[in-house]
Amino acid sequence: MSSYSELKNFIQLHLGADEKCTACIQGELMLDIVKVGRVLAIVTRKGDHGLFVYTTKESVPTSSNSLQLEVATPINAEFKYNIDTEASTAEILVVGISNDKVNLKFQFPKSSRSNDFFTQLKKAIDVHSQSAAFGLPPSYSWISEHYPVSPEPSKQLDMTSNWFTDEDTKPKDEAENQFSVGFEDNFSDMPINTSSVPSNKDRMASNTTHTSINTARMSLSGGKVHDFEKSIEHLEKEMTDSMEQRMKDSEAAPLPMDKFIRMFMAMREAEYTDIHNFKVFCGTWNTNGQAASADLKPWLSYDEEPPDIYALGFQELDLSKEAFLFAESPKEDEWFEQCRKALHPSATYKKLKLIRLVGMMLIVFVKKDIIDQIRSVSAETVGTGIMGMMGNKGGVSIRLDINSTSICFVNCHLAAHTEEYERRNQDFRDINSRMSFRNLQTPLNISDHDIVYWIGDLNYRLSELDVDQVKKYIELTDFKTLLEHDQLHRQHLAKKVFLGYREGDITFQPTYKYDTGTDNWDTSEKCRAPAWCDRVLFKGRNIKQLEYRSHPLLRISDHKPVSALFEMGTKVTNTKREKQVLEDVLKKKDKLENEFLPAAKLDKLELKFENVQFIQPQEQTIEVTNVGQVPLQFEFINKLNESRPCKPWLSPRPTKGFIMPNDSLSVEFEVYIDKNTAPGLNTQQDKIEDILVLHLEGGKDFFVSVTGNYIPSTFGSSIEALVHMYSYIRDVSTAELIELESSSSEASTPSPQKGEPFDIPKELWRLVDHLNTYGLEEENIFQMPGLHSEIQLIRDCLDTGVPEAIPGTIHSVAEALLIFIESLSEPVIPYDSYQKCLDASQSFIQCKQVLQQIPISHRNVFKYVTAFLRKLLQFKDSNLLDVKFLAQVFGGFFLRSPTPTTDRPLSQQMERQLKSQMANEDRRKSAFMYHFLTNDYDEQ
Amino acid sequence: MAREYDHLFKLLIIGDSGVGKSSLLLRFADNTFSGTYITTIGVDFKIRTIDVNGEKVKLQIWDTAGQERFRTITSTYYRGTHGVIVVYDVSSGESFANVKRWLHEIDQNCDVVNRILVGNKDDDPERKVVLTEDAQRFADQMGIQLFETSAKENINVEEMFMAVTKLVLSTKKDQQAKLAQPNETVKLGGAGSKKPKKKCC
Repeated sequence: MSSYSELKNFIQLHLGADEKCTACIQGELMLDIVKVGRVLAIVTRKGDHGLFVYTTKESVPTSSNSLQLEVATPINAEFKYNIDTEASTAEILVVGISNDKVNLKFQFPKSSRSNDFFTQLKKAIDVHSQSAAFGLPPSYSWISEHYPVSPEPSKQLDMTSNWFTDEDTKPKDEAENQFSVGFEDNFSDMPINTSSVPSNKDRMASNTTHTSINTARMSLSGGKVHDFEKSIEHLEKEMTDSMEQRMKDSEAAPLPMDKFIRMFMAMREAEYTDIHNFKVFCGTWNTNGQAASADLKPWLSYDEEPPDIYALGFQELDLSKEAFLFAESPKEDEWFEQCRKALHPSATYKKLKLIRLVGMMLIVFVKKDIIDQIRSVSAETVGTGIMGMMGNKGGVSIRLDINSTSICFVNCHLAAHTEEYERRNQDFRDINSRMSFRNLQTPLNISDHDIVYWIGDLNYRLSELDVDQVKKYIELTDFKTLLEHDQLHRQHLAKKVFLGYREGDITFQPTYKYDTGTDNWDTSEKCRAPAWCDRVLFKGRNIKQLEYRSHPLLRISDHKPVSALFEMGTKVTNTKREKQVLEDVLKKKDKLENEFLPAAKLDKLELKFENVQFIQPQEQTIEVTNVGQVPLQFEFINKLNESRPCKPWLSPRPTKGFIMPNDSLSVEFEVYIDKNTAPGLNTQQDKIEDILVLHLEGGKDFFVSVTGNYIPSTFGSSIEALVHMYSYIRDVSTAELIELESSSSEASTPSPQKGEPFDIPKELWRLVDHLNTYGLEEENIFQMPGLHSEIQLIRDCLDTGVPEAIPGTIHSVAEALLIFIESLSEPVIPYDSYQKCLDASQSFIQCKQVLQQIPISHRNVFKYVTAFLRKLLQFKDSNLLDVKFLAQVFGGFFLRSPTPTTDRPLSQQMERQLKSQMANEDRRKSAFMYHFLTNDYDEQ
Repeated sequence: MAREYDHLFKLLIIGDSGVGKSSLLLRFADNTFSGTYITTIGVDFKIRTIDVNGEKVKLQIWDTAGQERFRTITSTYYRGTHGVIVVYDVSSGESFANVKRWLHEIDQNCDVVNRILVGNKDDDPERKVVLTEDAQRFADQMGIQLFETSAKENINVEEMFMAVTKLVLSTKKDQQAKLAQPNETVKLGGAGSKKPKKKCC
């Protein structure tokens, strides 16, 4: 896996010598249907910035060749980016990037990387707006020099179609025009990689430009189609990647897992890191502008053992005006050379870095044999002097990484004068906040480092003591009392400055101020009190201070040099052990994630409904218990290509639910066979068999099996089958029943197998005969509902012959008759005659003609029932029946529309349309029926 | 370590009832094995993240009911699958004979998907009836890698999942490489032949 710095290097290889990639990030370009990997880079040249987008050949680029520039756009006033907070998630950052012409959407994994990238991008935009405010004209011509030589015109051109999206909606001619007219603008602003489009220069020189553009345009259209297919073909994997989000959503994540991994890796750092020790020598000296004449060996080669690293800080290296005004100073080389000569003779050193700001200089030398363990060396300066920014005071700093430990050396010269300690505190804070190593892949401040060594002329003095008192304590070597007056000591204790830093015990006498060339205290007019101006502080873990001393033998300055020696432990990552720990952490994380998946227990997964009967509901329950650790949401989901989760005769209640851990919920399953489902079950086209999918949101699916058997009934049978059925339906074998029903569509002519059919189903005769005998004068017949339990008994009577006589009240029998007619598998007026009857409903004669065409058994039923209804109407004074009411009720039952009512949701308009159509049909059904209730069928 | 994973793949385990699909999953995801047989009625999944050459691959592994009566429902779970693990039981000739049907099932429901053949319960030579040579010959014929595993004894389980993950990963990389490669030829104005729309994968 290539690291961030590798990626940056790959990009850098594409760039010119004066161009620099300041930040880059891998992400995905979000197209309409797919996402494709891209690398974005911020490139800067002489203060102007551009955003470069590269395609990648591999998911993780392994060389600069795997990157190909797709587009480069200047970061100017038109350039904008905005973070789509709605589309972004805890892990994914969705960002729109646009200029005046295009608008692209990218997504990036959220991380410190993405933070840095967008910080840098914002900076680049700020830089532009600032320089624009100053009236500085930005120059972006360098960006247009990045047209790559591309072997793949069509692909490149396809990208133009992405960028010039508005083209697609225009007619071709216009688009072509647009393309050639807008060409130069587009091009200079936003060069696109294409070899078939001539560069600006070519275009100027050539008269054939237009032709070339047309050619380009043509291949654009060709290429686009081709590429579109290509996307379909090759990007399907990527499409499934977009499912990742969905899949991720379905994983209940109790913790942000990224954090989890990092936290656990950090906690277990010791398991995969070793500590390697280095000796660090920190020296500081205010040389008071003196020439580099002294031998520095007594300072730098004081110890027996050679240190691994030297960090040498100088202040007042050069007090000349020239040093202040110009960057150059001859003293820099002189002192550097003087230091180099004085380094410990028993080791070979290399200069790692030197940085100077006016009189402040910091040099870091390292032993030659450790140089390959050092990375990311960088140096910066901060001025806090005149106007708060000049370099007469301030700090210079060098940072580096040794193995996995980051180290920062700061050399400073803080504000002078005894009473100015607050100013010195402020200088410290300013250096701390303003020192930023910007040219690193991730910009760092001083405080971001594992270890900081802070050295220099801190200039803190001794308070409340006059010169003589100070000198007296020095003579007595009572440094303890003196230190109580040390301003740095006091400010540090008061937590006003150097928070978190430590300092070794001071056992040397103050290093300031001496008469130059002597060890005598200052005898000048000012007669300054001695003070420990020159100090070494440090911060971080695994550091042991070995020495802290001054070097009074060096007399050329009014300060004495100071040095401190440390043993510093650095972390070395053992990659093999790190991998093992990572695997272990991943395993723990996976375990946690698996444990936090929703989990349920169902007390049974199979339901058996025995001897299910017509209009007789059966119920069973399943207890769903949440046995997981998270709240649970379940739902019965539709199977593929089905609009309901189960067969129409089955209803689970509830179909979805929410259960807290350790809680349970009962789901009721009701089987109910009505007029719609009975015919299928009678003929065994349907069975009491189904599988429901109970889906746990974000978790597993359970399959709930439903089985059972249905007892056939005359209800839901066909007239044809019933007229051939000589015994009770319960006494008919299943095979016979299927045979009867399957041949029922044939004409009901007598056949040798079936024998002579009845005129009408005997069950119908029994019901009507019962009503004819006992119910002609029953008040509100057909208007009062029957009793459900009695209707079930009537059903058994008709199906089994038990009880012998029809039970129940007249109203129950009347309702049973209606249900019987309603549930006939083929209505009395067969489906194929339905429309004809409606069309004929204006004329009795035509109605009768249509009836002549329906099967004889159906016609018999029709005639028989209407004759009975007409007889009922003769008793309307007693039974209070009304011809219109009967026409409506029986019209609806005799005439059933062959188009089933849909349970799909309809648009309001559709619904209105359907309603008015149904009302119209209902009117015509009643009209049809009305003829036969008011006229005798056989009457001519 | 910025991202939780570099790749996320969905794997599906299929095969006759009782060949040890759930046991393979449990062994791989939880490193556990239970001797008691609980038939899977439904589909279940577990996740595991593995490191393949420095890349973190998060696997979402779906275990399906093997029973015949659920076949039509389970076939809907092939959608979006990157790799399918077809399992038989080396001590059951019938389960091996059915492998063909399972492979057919994959063809019916997926267009491009990586497949791997697994002979599980390979821990008791006495009871082994599907010979390695026969299985290998069949796998070669079908162009599939064969692994003989034992979820019970934790033999070859890790290796098998690693192999299928690597297959899926390399397919993904091939596709990305193809995408990054130049188009072979460009037909001017030609719409080209439309490929039928893929069902899944």
